[in-house]
Amino acid sequence: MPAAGNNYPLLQRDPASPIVLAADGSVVTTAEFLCQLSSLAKQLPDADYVLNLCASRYHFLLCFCAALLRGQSNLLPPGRGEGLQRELCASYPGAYIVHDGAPVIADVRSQDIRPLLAVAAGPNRPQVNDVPVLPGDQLAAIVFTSGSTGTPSAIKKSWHTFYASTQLNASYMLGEKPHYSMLATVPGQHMYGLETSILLPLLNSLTVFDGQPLFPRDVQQALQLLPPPRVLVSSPVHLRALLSSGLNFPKADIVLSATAPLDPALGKQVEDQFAASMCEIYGCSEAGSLAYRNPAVDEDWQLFSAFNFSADDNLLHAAHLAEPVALQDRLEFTAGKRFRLAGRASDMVNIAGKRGSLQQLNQVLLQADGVLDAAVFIVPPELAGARHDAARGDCLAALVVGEPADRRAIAAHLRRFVDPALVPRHINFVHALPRSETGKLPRDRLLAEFVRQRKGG
Amino acid sequence: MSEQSPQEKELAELIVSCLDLDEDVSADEIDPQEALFGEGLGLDSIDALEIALAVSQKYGVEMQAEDDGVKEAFASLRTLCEFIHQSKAA
Repeated sequence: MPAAGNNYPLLQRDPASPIVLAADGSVVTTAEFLCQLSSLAKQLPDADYVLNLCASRYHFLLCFCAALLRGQSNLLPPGRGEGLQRELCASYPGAYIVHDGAPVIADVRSQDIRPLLAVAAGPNRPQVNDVPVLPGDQLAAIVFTSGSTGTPSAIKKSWHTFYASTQLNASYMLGEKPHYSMLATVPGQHMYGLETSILLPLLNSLTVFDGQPLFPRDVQQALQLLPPPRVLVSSPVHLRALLSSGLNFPKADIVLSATAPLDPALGKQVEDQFAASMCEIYGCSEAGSLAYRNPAVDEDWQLFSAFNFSADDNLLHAAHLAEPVALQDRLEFTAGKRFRLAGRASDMVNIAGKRGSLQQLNQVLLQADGVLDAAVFIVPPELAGARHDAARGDCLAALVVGEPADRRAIAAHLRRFVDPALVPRHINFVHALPRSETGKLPRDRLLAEFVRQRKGG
Repeated sequence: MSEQSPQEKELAELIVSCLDLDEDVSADEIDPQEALFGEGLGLDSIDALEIALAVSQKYGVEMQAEDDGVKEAFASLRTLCEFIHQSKAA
């Protein structure tokens, strides 16, 4: 088991193996990647922290690694909103932004990396033969996620944590075959996307597709471009869209799904359509991926061997984690390391892989212009409307007291601070919130008011 | 807000229905020139996926990010409508 005090390589791959395949069919070999990386790292400014907003997976990977070579920590926010950028840069003085064309805030140092890469690819590029080695206790990344208290929590990830969890993930997600090509429909900045589409390729001989295809036809073409055996990294909402397109897809040997529960029937359809073995992953930003199941076969999750759950304190323990982790779901163990999810243990919501706390959303909502009182709550599926998409996750609604009753202005305010997926789908204006005599907001009263509003009452 | 053409009205109804927006935004409230994503209607990438699916089912037009113009097509109701009817004609 990797320990914090040792050194670990940044990369474990054959130098000639392709690490990235671009949409135009071109590849970057491990050796070429190391050259570009070394050159880029030298050109980055001095700082302790870097906010990595690159949209291309390859650019993200390069910047992520270049920061590590410079001893800088990657700040990985849950979104790209300007409010978030400003908040993070204020909390981490001296932080700069790297991007590849994304809109960035003006008052913080930022670097478009594309011109730097042009230099790196030029004839004077350095030759790199040695694989960089990093101290295990180096702070590789800080992942931000909504804490249950409402203030975003910063989760520190050392390189040895990433190194150990990647070994673990490789054994559970990929099994014995080492030479997969990987297509991910999820972004690299997200913890699940980071563990799969960034860290697995660094420490295994995987080739990862540069793009993040969204539409079914793009996924189909990208898969055709990738040599078998293939692994598709996706989420329930993307998988459902792929299947409802009616297209035929090339074989994907493994399909991974995370971010929301996968309907067992959908899991089975995915297996049939892709001739794949389906592996659903359960994890969280604090611990990373931690359990798996095939939903068509198993209701129970199997905890990865490196984790231990202690029922005494409801904490998840593992040698590679900096500290024990409190999970957002209640785990009910059936036998050994097999468990079921038995409801949520906190006020966290999960929509399309984006996590937020109701309390935090409520606080942000109360700061909107003209809002006097407000309540954000989860609408149970039976009230969410016939077309609510369960693959997407929770359905959120808000009741708002305030003037003017401008739903769009409120949604725009929320989007400055939280991911668009977490903006309540239903925002209704009321004269007063249905508070009890003690000022509390019982959930049944909120839902009753919600139903009344939806009926046009 | 500028007036919706009959084709735009039909597409607005499809969007509102496939995204289950109808109790918050009615189809005729969508300004044909207003941004669908970001500041305007504020839809996200998963909504784009839903719209693309509904469009392929209703109009038989397959949307692809690799195609020139798909990103621009999602700019507004008007550009999306033009994209669909040009692709259908092609």
